[in-house]
Amino acid sequence: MAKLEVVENQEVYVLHSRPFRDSSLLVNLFSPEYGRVNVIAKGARKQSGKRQLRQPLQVLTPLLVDWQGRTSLKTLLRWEYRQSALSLQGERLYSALYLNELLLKLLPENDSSSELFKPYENCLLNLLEDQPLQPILRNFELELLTCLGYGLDFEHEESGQAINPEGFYRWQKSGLFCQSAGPNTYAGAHLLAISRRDFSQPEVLRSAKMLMREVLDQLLDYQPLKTREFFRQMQSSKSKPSSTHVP
Amino acid sequence: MFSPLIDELINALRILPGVGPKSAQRMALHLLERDKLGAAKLAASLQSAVDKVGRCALCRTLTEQEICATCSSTQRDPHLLCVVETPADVLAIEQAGNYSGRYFVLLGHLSPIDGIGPEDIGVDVLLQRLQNEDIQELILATNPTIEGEATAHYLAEQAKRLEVKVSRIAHGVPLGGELEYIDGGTLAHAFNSRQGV
Repeated sequence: MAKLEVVENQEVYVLHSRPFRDSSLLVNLFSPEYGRVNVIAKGARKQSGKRQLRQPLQVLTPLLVDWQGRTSLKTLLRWEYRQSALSLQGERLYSALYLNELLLKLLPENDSSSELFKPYENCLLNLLEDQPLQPILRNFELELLTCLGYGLDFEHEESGQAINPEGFYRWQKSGLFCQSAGPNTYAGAHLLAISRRDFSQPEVLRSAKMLMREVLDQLLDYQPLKTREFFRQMQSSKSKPSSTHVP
Repeated sequence: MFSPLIDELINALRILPGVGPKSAQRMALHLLERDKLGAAKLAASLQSAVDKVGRCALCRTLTEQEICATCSSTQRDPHLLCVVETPADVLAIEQAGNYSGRYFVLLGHLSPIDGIGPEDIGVDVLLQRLQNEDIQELILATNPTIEGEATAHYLAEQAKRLEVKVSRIAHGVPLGGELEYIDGGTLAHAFNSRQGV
């Protein structure tokens, strides 16, 4: 029988949860030391008869938890808030959920080498502040790609030559850029700006979004992202449609 | 172990919440052994409920009428509309007994990761009602969860565009509760929405 693993006092975030049986929840946690972990929180949906009301297990809440288990599905033993839930609203909330969906779909389960926790936390904190939304998302996506081992080389093209700011490049499934003309190409200057994480120009931001979408779509095996779909629905139901907000 | 019909009954009972194999077996045996009359009544009422109960055309709650009793009642204030997530929420508010307006049941909440968008929770029907009826206040009584808040925020934005007054039910300290045991989020809410006395 596999050894019983007991983990105490992990700082985690809830990525997603869904009801399980009558009063329990199946929860996807994101932790700094164990990466993405699936746990079952028994009785989490029940208002317990004890005097102390259970704190709800919700997404976007910094938690401190204990869990144990022998298999990949652990049992959550205890949870408490590190801080109160992040109060994100509207677009920023949907963006945070978009990050969660990316992590759920791309991050391998129980991967202990997750350097992504800090960037994720920072990204959520940035979303709370009044900074422009798009650069926050692009930065996190780039960070995510690096952590997954798909980091892009924005400085060299396929042949090893430096990227020319005047040139136009196409992204290839191998992960390398090659010089190309025609549609779906990125200006060399934009790639260099992305490499410096300099999103001050709207054109660079647009190229970054197109590029990230192309790369992530391939990583996701062209499975649609539900949060992106959702964004589109939200935009189309608004009076003034603008596609620029879709992450 | 049992004959096929009994097995089928046991399996059918297991769809009920909180009923596992053992309880399903007890129920089935009880119905067949001791209370065949009750079992026949149960079967008949289940059948007719399944056949006849549908959704109210106005508020989407469960009813066998075209328009439910709350919506068609002349006693209720037609200028107040309360948005809730489930029919069970309607019952809870009715039992509290101090709300006299009408309801709108979303049958869920927005949940981007699960792909549940505005169309799935009948927002189009709600907005149509806001446009066609003389509704002066829209009360948002979705659950105080992340999804419930997201839903409330979205509905508030939509309703404000139609120039309808929108309010959100208060969150705070439960009656008879003790501050010491209340979580920080709830307390923060309670302080932010404190009232003058």
